[in-house]
Amino acid sequence: MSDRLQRAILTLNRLEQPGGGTDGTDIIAAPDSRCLLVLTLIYLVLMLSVPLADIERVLLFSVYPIVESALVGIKYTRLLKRSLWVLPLVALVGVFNPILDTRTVFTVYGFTVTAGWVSLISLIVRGLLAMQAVLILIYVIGFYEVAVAIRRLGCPAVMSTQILLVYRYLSVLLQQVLTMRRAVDARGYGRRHMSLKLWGIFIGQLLIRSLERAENVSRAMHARGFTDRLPLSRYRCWTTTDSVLLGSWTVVFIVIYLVPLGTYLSKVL
Amino acid sequence: MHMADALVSPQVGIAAAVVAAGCLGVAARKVKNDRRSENAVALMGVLGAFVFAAQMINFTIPGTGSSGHIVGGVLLAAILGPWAALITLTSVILIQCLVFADGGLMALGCNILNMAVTSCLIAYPLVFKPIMRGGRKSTARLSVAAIAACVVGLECGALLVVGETELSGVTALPADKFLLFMLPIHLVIGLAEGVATAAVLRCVADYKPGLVFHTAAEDGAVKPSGHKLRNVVIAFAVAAVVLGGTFSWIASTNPDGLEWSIGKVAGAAEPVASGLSAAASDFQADTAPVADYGSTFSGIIGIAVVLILLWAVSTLLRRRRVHLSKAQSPVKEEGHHK
Amino acid sequence: MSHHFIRFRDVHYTYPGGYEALRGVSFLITHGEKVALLGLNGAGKSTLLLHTDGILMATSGEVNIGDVPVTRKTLPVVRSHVGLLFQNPDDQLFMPTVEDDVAFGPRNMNLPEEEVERRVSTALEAVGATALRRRRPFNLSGGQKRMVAIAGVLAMEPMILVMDEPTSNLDPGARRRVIELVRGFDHTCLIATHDLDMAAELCPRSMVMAEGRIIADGPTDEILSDIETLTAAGLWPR
Repeated sequence: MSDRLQRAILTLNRLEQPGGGTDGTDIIAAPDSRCLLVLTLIYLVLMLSVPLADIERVLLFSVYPIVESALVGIKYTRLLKRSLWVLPLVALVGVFNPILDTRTVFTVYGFTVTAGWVSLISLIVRGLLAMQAVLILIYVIGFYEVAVAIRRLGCPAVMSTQILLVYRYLSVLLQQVLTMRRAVDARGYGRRHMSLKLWGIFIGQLLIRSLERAENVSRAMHARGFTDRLPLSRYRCWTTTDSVLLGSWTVVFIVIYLVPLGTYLSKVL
Repeated sequence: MHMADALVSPQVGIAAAVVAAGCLGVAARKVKNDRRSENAVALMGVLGAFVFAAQMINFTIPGTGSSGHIVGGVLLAAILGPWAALITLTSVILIQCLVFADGGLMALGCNILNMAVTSCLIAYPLVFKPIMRGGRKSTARLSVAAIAACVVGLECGALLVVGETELSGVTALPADKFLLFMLPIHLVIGLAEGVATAAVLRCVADYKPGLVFHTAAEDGAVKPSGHKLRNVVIAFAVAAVVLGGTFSWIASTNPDGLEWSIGKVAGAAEPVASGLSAAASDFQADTAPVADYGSTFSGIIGIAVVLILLWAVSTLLRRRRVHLSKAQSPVKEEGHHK
Repeated sequence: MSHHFIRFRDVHYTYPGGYEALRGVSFLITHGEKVALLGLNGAGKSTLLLHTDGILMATSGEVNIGDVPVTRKTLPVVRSHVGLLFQNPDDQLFMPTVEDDVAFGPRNMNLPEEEVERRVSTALEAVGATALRRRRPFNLSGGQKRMVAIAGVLAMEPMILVMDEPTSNLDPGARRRVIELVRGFDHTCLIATHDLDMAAELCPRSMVMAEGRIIADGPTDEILSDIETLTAAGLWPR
């Protein structure tokens, strides 16, 4: 299981490097964090509202991740690869559809495509796209900016302070768990998982250490005059570019949503 | 246990997010007003990271040979009180969603309800607290309370998962069969989580008894015997009724509420497009045996071709822009490892 | 301008669990002095340091920072005079970026943003960490973390610096940099440490603690050659 731990630590570290989400280059043009957050939400709402039966429109919604990733400088293949992680979960829920829904939708070279297959495939596409949209958000503005955006959009300070603190101590605690886990493994004679009893002691120890750490952190905060919220800085202003970006994408989404482009295309072909 | 975006329709996602936001709003106010100690901010922050880390370590589920990990809702509630625990667990779920791509943004509300609200605002005050209140404070009582609370919390979560999935209309599996599949599994998971939670709590009780066995008077967040708990229950009942009502209304009047409302907004533009859409529906009638499945093979191929072209153009565009931005600032080469 | 001294008068402190950590501590550290506080783990050093900043309040006895007695009411004044460096920089660097962390104290003092900016730049420059400004504390090295933590304390522009084990867990290079940095300060300094070499190098005066009491107080070279005291404090093998 320390693979999972190490992977989590790696993910965190990679995100925290400058331009962490991109292929080694800095993000070319990062929009305002609020702009991208709102844009992502609009995209998700419209994309997920398309009925599963309408696979063409679902497919068309991949315009956003393909183009936006290029605009900000992320390789789309990387996005695609990362988003494949969502497949197992989505497939698990959708796997019954081809079995249960056997109405014919169309026939290709003698193969009958049933409604169940169509809905399974659009479910998968949906899953990939939703994930890609969120990945763009996090790769471009980073987690810290998301927390700032959340506070600037009117969320209570308790929440954004909490998110930032958890995020900060995540890597510290994961590292600590990794060290402790190695200490257990070193004397564990190749057992992969801990027994419940050992687990309880292990996590109990971790909890006690965490409580002590929390006390120290709190002291360090109060020593520097902490009141009740983390003061934040680096407010980037909303620019015309942000409005244009948000506006034009919203129009694109609505057009895809309302106009049956797939039907026109099939007539052209 | 995490719901993904693809499995949630926007109506369900938004409705769940509204309910979750409501609970969080109350929690934020409560936590701000009565912090148990001046350490609360740091404690919630570090324990959030703790739960995240604890979820990474699996234990063997006795008798099955398989392994599992905890969600940690009841554990957090027992230490922090329900409201602070709700905020803490929510922050963990949010980070899992954004940083580790577990679950999605649209499903965030559902995930908060399924995992955090059920354990902190249902299982803890209605099961854990009452069991802990009566009689002698013993570790046996602690274990019983933890196990019962975890089972109740997880079963509620499973119930919600089934409800949300069915209402979203993504599965052809009928609700009763889905439930029959989910409930027993979550009974086992709940038992395991309960035993694990009890084990950790016992460990903490040895170290700092006051942390686990705080009396009702110390528990500033929820006064078990007072009217506050009742308010929570009532709020929940109301939320459930409103939520259920909205769902069934959406489901009965129109299978796709959002499409319906957008169609209404765009209604004015309808006549202009009528020629085209009439042609389109003629075309559909020829080829599509199932009325609502308007997809055609050629349509899908057409879209695929367009998307591939778009990808190619975008890639060229990106390369050009990356190239330009590098030309402007040669220093950035340093960050270019690979 | 007489805020630069620390005075403890018969300070006792008992932790809520009943553990008696300080059993009558008295001393005076005057303006500009650099004093080392030596002793084993559990001797009460950290507890004593936490009293200088009012994070722990004496059960009995009196702590004065200059003219100001440390009480709940005077905490804001005391904390703006005393800069406290914690033993584990990870506990101290809780903000998401280096610059935000250094700015944390000044912002809590409600200083105008230009003044915050000036202090952040000055503090980072003083510890030679200007290049780390936009970094996250995640993947800084141990030495870098320590330097940034020190910058966070310096940005408060304290008159008295109190440090808990500033050289622990550092590689020799980073340890050297911390020592040189502290040598350059003209603040009043109280440094708790196991690092006897550093004490000898930086601090003309040392105090030795054992079991919640100060058992020796005097010039560092005399104390470090006083085997009897060192043995009693557990700093020398019996």
